[in-house]
Amino acid sequence: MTIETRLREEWESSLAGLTEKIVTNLALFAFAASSVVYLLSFNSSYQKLLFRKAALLWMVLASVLASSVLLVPGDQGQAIFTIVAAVGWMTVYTHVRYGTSHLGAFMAPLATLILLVHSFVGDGAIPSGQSTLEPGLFVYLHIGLSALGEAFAIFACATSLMYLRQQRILKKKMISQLRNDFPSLDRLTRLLLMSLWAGFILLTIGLVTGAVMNQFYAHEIRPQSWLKILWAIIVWVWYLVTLLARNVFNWPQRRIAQMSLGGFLLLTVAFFGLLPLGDG
Amino acid sequence: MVKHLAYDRPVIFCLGANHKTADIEVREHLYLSDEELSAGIPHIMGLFQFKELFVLSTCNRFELLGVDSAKDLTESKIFDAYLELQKYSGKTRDISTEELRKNCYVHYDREAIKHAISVASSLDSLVIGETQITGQFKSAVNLAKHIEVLGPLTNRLSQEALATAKKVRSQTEIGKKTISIAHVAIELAKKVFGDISEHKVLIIGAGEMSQVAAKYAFKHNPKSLYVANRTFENGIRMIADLGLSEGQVFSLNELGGLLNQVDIVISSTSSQDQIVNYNLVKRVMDSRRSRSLVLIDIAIPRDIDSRCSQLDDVYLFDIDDLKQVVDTNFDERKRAAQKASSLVEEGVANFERWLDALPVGPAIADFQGYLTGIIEKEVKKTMAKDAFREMSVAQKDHLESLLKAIKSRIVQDVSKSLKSPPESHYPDQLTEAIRVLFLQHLVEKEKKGEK
Repeated sequence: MTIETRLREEWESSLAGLTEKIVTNLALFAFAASSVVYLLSFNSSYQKLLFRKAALLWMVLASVLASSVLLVPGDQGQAIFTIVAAVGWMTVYTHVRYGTSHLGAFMAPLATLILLVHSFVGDGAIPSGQSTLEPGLFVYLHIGLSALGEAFAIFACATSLMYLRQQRILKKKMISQLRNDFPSLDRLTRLLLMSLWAGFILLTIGLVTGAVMNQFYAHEIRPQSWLKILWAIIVWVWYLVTLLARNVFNWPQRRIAQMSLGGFLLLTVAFFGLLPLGDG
Repeated sequence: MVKHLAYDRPVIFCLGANHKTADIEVREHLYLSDEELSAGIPHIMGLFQFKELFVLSTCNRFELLGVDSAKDLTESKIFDAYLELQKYSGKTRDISTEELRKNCYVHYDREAIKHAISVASSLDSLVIGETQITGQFKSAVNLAKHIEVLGPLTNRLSQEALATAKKVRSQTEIGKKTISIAHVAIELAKKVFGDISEHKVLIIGAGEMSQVAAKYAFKHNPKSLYVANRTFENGIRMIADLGLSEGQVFSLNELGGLLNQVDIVISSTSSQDQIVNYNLVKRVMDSRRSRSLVLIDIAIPRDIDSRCSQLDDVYLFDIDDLKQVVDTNFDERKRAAQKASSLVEEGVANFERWLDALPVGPAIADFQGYLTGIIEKEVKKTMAKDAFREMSVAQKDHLESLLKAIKSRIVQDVSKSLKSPPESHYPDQLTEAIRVLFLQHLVEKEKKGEK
């Protein structure tokens, strides 16, 4: 390799890295702005519609930026950005399709928090030179689908929070606290179930592809990876029980929402606490 | 008819009776249908020679709103017209002038304008913020237009009233919160289920409140509407009004099966015992597989066991909860009405500004004509004199330009003062002064023309 070629490659790599950092920070800023404007829209009764439209626009921008990071080749945070991009687009879709603008007030701060933690802690992704996995479509499939599954779990968490709030107000008859523009319990239940099912299916595929990946593509499996695999199975079982509780055991809806919150906490530990232990 | 209103100041009047001044018997007697009004109004217009008129007749008010000239209008004329309208419509019981005076109010000019705008904006209604009155006001105006008794002032006033009503509705909370128990019940059910059209509703009881609740529920197009009542025939009678089939009426013995099917229950019976108990609902919820159930109990004593609210996915609201919402909503409407009154004042000011400017335009045009006439006459007289015969064409043109400029300046100043008069002066007074000082010959000509 000539010096010229090496210098050009280094320059392109630095440029790509710089671009990724700029876009990452812009995405973080856009999610944060969306959070602020969504929260403001709760308080401002006069300009509610204006604030909600502004919040939606910021969310669209944030989602576009987060999605564009995925297009920039790099080692860092592909899973994280898959998650926040999916979270952003889900929020935009439900806001436009179902008018559930309040969901943004929960989702935007969650996405901001994920990006903030990622900025300080990182997601533990191992640089390609040190990975024990062969790169390939299967690996990206595993990471992508798992990340999408996690995004749906985040969506389920936000929907659960909204459900539990509304349910508590109605149960305790605190009618003066009911907001005219909050979605009905029925709508929130449907969104929750939809996201639980979607997340569970994607997590299942992610888990299966992970198992296949370790069988056929991993050069070696480090001992600490077993903890991560075990935790992933625990999370999967938790969501399985949540769905069974609803469809088979006939548990009340409130319990399902609470279990969905528990599942999100388990996932958060899996992602930020255990990911540094293994590949992918 | 005199063209310029400055000599014939119009007076807007309003004579009416509403729920505040007349009891329901008197209001029932005064009510006239559109057909009766279509015949009666032209009759009294011919008899009493009002300039403009329209009549608002609803279950809660009967009002005559019109325009007449200041020199012709008297209070007894308005009352006589009101009585004649009733008599012409063939009312079996004559209402005397004394009875009418006791039950009616009369407003003139600003008060009449403000009253009309307040009525159209539902601020004078029995239920502040109700939506029907604006439509009724519009219908009254359309009827007056159709029988050609609406004139420029009443037309403009009705436009201002309806525009203000629209602003009141969009800029305040006056009509946004419901104050009907049955309506609140349905609104609470919507907090749980959203769209009622995907859910089934059960009404327990066939009394007045149940009927109202059933009507509101029916408006939302539920998937099914069932009625359960102790007396089967009463249930049949109730749903006949709603146009439902017999198959949707059940006896109270079938409640267990019904509760399994429906999602919203509204109960209002006169029973002294509980109709829906805790054990029944618990059994039903076990088979409902986490589907929510909304129970609304608007009976006193209560029909539904209060312990049902402890069950998961069951939402129970009683009459106290609904009244709490109604009271809160009523207070909000009263607050909104205060905000709305400032919009009404704005509407009144807009109309008065328009009214004040009405005679000004023609008067300025006449004054300008008067000055032009004088200038032309004097220029012709002066140019004929020897001293000016030797003036060049250019000099004559300059002189004429100077005179035109002086005329324009005078007209401009007069126009400015008429449109924005100094404090404690009014446009119609100043217009009249202009006419008296400069345009007397025109008025004499018009009077001769009238004769």
